[in-house]
Amino acid sequence: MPLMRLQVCASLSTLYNVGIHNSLRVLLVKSYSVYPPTFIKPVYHPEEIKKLSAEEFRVRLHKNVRAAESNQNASVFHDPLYEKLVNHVMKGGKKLLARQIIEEAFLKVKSTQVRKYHLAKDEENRKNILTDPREIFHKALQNCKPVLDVTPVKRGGVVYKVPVAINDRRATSLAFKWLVATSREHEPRRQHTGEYFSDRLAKELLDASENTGKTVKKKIELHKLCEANKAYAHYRWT
Amino acid sequence: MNSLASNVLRCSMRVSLPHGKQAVAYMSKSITDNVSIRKRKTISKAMRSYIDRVKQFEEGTVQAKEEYETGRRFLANIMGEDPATFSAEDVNRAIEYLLPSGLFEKTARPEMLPPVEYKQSAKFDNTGRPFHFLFYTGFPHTYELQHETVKRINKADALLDLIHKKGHTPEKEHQMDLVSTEWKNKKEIQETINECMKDSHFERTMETLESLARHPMSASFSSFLTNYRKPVIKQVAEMKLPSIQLDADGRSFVEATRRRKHAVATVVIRTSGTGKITINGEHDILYFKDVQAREQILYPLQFTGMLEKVDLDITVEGNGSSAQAGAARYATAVALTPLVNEDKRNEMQIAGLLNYDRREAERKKTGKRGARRSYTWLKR
Amino acid sequence: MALRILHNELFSHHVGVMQRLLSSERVLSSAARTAAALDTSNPDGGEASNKKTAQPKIVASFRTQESNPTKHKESHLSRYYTVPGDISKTLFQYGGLPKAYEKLCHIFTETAIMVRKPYLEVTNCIESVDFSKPAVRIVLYGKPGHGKSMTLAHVVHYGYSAGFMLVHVPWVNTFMRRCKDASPSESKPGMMDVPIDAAAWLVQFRTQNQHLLKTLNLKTSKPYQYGPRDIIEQGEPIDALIEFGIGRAKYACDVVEALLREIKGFSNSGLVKTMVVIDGFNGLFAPNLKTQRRKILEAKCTLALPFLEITQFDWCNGVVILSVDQLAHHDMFKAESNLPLYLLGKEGWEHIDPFIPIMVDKYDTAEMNSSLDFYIDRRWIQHPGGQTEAGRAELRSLCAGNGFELMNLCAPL
Repeated sequence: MPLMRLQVCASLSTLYNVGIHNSLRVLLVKSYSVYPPTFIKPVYHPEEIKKLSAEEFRVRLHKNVRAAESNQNASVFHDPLYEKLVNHVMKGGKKLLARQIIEEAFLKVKSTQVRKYHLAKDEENRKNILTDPREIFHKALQNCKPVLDVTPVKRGGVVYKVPVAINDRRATSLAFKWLVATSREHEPRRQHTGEYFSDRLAKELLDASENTGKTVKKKIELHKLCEANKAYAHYRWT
Repeated sequence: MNSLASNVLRCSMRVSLPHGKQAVAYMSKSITDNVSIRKRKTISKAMRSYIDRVKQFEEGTVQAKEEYETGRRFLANIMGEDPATFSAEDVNRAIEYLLPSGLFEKTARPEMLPPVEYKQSAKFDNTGRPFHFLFYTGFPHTYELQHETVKRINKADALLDLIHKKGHTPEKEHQMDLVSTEWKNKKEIQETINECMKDSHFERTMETLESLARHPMSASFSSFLTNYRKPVIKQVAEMKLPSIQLDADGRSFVEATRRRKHAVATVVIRTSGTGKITINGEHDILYFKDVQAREQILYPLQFTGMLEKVDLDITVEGNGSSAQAGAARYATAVALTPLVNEDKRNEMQIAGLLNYDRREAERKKTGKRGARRSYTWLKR
Repeated sequence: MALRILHNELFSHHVGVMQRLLSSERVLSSAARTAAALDTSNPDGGEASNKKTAQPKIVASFRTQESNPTKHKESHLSRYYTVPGDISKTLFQYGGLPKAYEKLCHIFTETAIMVRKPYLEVTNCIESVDFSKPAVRIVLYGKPGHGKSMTLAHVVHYGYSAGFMLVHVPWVNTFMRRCKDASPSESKPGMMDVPIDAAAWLVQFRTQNQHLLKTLNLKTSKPYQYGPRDIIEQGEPIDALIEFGIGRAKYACDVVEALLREIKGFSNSGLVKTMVVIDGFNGLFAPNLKTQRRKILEAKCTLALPFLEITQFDWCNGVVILSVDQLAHHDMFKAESNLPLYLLGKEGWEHIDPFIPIMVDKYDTAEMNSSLDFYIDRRWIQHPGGQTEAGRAELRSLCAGNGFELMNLCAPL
């Protein structure tokens, strides 16, 4: 599904208030929204507002702003990546359940690591043990992000998989999808093995933070595919 | 045509017309009148037809005015009010009362409006020569505007060259402030230049104006450009803040009611508090089993640094926990606005706390099972 | 020996205790409490005597070194004390601490309990009881998550330290709502036995009271015969009865009944003072029995009867501390109130009236701060934001004084 959608804009005057114009009378919008395109996204966290320059602050003040969403707040514990993970884990709009599962997974990660920490006696070992579940999650995500991607290019009736540089948004997206997909594998159908999604997710996060595990394996396989199709890289431009 | 020509030879009359210029008008007078035939200046057909049109229009206006006046007096009499002081608003009120309409569309309801006063000067002189040099384009004012803009762009380029020659770069002050104003829309531009525009003309004109406005040296031409720009309404500045009241114990409080989807929340913030939150009279914040909902309620308090400093009294009903929390958040944020300074209010505006969340359930459409979901496709 | 006491005499006895409880010397002043909580530089009395080093050890403000619950006073309020490892194992091996908290104790490698006002009220009550009079009943009540079970755990440790015989039911629903096994009772037709749970309880009883059973020579007062070869003679040590019950789970419910009657007898004759602690007492009045496999059996449970018997006031030299819990209600989701009158119902109220009610209220700011300090110290709150004042204020506001909720909120951090 493409990220960009084409939307015919009936009133041209709205275009000029956005500051862009197009003689083809179509406007590229990034997503469907109830809000008109003139409404900009809010900067909801006080830390982010501090980072805005005076100029940008003034510009934003003169624009219409969308309301902040339900998972956005000014808490010190707020993490946009965590919210993204919740969205990826969520099924059927059940956000509460998704959050509970992820909190359980983080709890399991923390329990394992804190116990390891207490059992490790010398300072040297203790330093290397990460006990913050959010830190582990960020590290795991970083390790799961691919650097290259393949894109299908048709030449002479044959579709080749051409390796191509990936942008950060897509890389993060893929990392999330793989993490959740690997955790969903072996979901119990008839026999419940006693292992829940949160257990598998916890295990995946711990493994990925150490550059092992099935998710990182998927990333490495993609890189291998890119390496294998290195010969066709020039198809990207010709 | 010949009869008209013969009339021309017979009589003439000087008439003073609205635009101040004088012209000779034709009037149908009988040949037998004792009128001296003087030498006449020829009037072009265009001018003649224009004059006829204006005359017709004026007569029509006079008639319409008379009708309106009669109607107004009649309505005043029916309503039992003094006709002398019966204004246009009173007329509308009377019609709404006497002829109530259940129609949804307001423009379809019965109304009585005073006749439009429309004044437009002649665009050509008595010889039929147009005054405006771009008259024959059909859209003189539009093209004139474009020409004026381009002239100023060239001047701006020259100014920029001067600066570059000295080895400097243009300052920020040299560019016009584009933040506090925005371009007028098509209707407003038409009103400004007093001419109807086609969409393509509008587009082209705006492109040109835009390129002047974005020029690094556009500040010198800001007086020209402000004709075509209107001020942006700063939502926070225009916002009506709820009032701070005093309760029986002498404690000040602010009340606000807001909605999200179909949930309605009334929040009373009492100052000099300890962070006590009461929901629907008997519950504390654990009324919301969802942690996200609780975080939403605390969000405006955290943002403004009032977390354990004020007491909250929330009454909420309708929809589910998420909508109720969203309504309570919005109401809390609005209730906090009179308790914080202007800078904080601006920050709240940018954070999206002071805006109505328009996301509502999408309606079901015909031919679909829900809003988007289609019926299962069956081959047979 | 059955004591026939008139109801109003008993009532006045309870009222007398209440009056002494509320008298000026017992009332806990909040000023003293907050001063104690904020006083970080004051080392506790019990610690000074144990000092060997010259420099005093800096004790964290949320901790107290006093691990003997009988010595806990107002100055220890809102501070955590650590239950010594071996005692913790003895007392709480088979339950007693809330399950989620037990997991935390495993991770922290220590069992820490906070000293709170309801505990001090209970101990004051116990200390002012006249043990020659009938057993006093104390009922703890409050919203779920405010700390009733933790208070009871603290009281159990107190009882152990003070030398009471402990009759401790950690959570009534274990055998009333999640029994492992149910079979029709032979001795009480029309009711269901819960053999495995009864045997498990006997194991717990034995573990908790092994020190007393070794030192005191308690003997059965009458013979018990359960089968042709299952006889316990009169005068045999009580351990034999317990062993028999554990070995022969079939008769475990009857053994529990016999055991508790014997204990009543021992208390009455002054051999031992007993403390009965039951968490979720209102669960004993459930009209039916629910198994682990969620099956509801329309019959009453025989194991409830001995515990109902021992909470009566027809014995002395004992004290009964109960808690009524919304979560122990037989239909947990429909329980509307957490007050004793509602939860006990008519039957329960008539059984337990008169009693001393003690409300376990939510955590106040000092207690919440103490909890947060404890979690940070034990590396339970990993998030750096949790150590900032803003983060702490948020956690305090989000949990609204509910200790259980605070624990859950800190879990993923």
